[in-house]
Amino acid sequence: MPFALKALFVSALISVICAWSGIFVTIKNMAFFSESISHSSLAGIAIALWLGFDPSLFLVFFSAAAAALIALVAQSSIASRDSVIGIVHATIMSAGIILLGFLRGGNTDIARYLFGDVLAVTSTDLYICSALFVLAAAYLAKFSTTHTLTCLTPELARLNGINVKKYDFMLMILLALIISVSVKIAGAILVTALLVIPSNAAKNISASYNSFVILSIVTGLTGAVAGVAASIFLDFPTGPSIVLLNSIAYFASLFARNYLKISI
Amino acid sequence: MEINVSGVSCRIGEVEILKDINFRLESGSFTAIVGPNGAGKSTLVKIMLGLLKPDGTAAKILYDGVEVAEVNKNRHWLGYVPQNYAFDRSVPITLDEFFKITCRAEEGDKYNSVLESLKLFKLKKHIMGGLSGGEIQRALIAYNLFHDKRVLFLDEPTSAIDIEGETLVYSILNNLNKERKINIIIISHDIDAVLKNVDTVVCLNKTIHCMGGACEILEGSMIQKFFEGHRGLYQHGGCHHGRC
Repeated sequence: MPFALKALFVSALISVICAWSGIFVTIKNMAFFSESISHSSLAGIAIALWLGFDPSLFLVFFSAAAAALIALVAQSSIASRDSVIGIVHATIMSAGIILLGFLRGGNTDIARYLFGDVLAVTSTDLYICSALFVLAAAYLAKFSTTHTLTCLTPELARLNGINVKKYDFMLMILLALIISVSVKIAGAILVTALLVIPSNAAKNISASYNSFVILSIVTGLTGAVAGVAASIFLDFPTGPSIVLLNSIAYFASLFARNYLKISI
Repeated sequence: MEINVSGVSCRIGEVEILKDINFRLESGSFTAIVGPNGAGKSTLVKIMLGLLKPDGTAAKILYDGVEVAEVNKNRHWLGYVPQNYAFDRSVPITLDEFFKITCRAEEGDKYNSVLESLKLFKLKKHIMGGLSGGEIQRALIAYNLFHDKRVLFLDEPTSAIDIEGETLVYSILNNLNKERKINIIIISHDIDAVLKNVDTVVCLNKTIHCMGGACEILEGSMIQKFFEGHRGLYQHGGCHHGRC
């Protein structure tokens, strides 16, 4: 597959799944969690490079483990979830920075993950990304209703026999997996934007939950396609281009909401 | 549904919230739990709902003889309308979507009749974030009706609504209690409303102070002692209850 087509395909898959799952990040205010997992992924990459593993695959397991660690500590601690995320994040990042010191000058892969480079996606990345997309889309199709309930009304969900802690944990793992694969496109610094911006742009102008979900996915997908095109034709960096286009959509939707009173 | 509460105590850190609570509520009763702030009313309701665990192993909460943990695991009889329904009002979800997503409710006679009875039918395409406190209260009652709850707990059901809304909510609760035989348990500071509507009153202040029929308890001398002479702060008029 030509590199441009590969980049477009991977960006589209990741943007759609980020925008879809981003609905729950927005409802449940999980932006800080997403940010922590994406930043922690740098430590995962450092460990993978140090051990000589393929970072793409290693990152999937590492991010899931980091999310599980946050959930485990949060459940056994009296600290707020945000504090626990901050503590676990700082711990993993510190270990990662020390490991990066050992790798200094030896490898440039780390910069690629820091800022993202979708034009350099390999066939392995393509397979991992496609597998994740199928897995995450199937999961969301089956459980998005339950997650909507647990995110909107956890107490009422609990009274209906739903194990809210289990679903919160599953959501954290799902997000960690999505972030671990998305880091390759947007980079660890910007990946949270793919989760947070499309859903918030959609939220500004949605008149129903259906619109919210559909507009979020459309925004994410449009940003991905236009961002990759800008990257190829204008030689802009891909990740920042995608994020910037999503940001433009967000501010446009904010304007449409506040001044044009548009509601779809 | 008969409800039995026995041996319930609760302590958070060094603070004693509830001490050895024991009472029984008859099937089909409409009960108010009254007491001053910090009396442990909300804690007791959360324990009865199984959302909080009481101290020790002796405590029992039974619904028709079935333990609350079992009820929550398999039977889902218990409904709850919290005092402040904490949800993100900016989430664009219509009332219709809320019921269809969270209750898997389907369009039909039952759906429309529940919405009509709660005066929500005309609001079903409205975004939930734009509804008033009273409309949200009614939406949460509808949520519980769609789930066919047999016991409904309401924490300060009329604290955020006007007098017209309060009358509507109590008339709905009375209908549910009489027609659907749903046990209703409310927490309230509004003694007027309690006198007019409920048949059983539980006076709680960390422990059960007194319990019995609404007029017997609230018109008697016990209540004066219970509220330490400040009953006037809670009461606006006399007893208007047909059951007195």
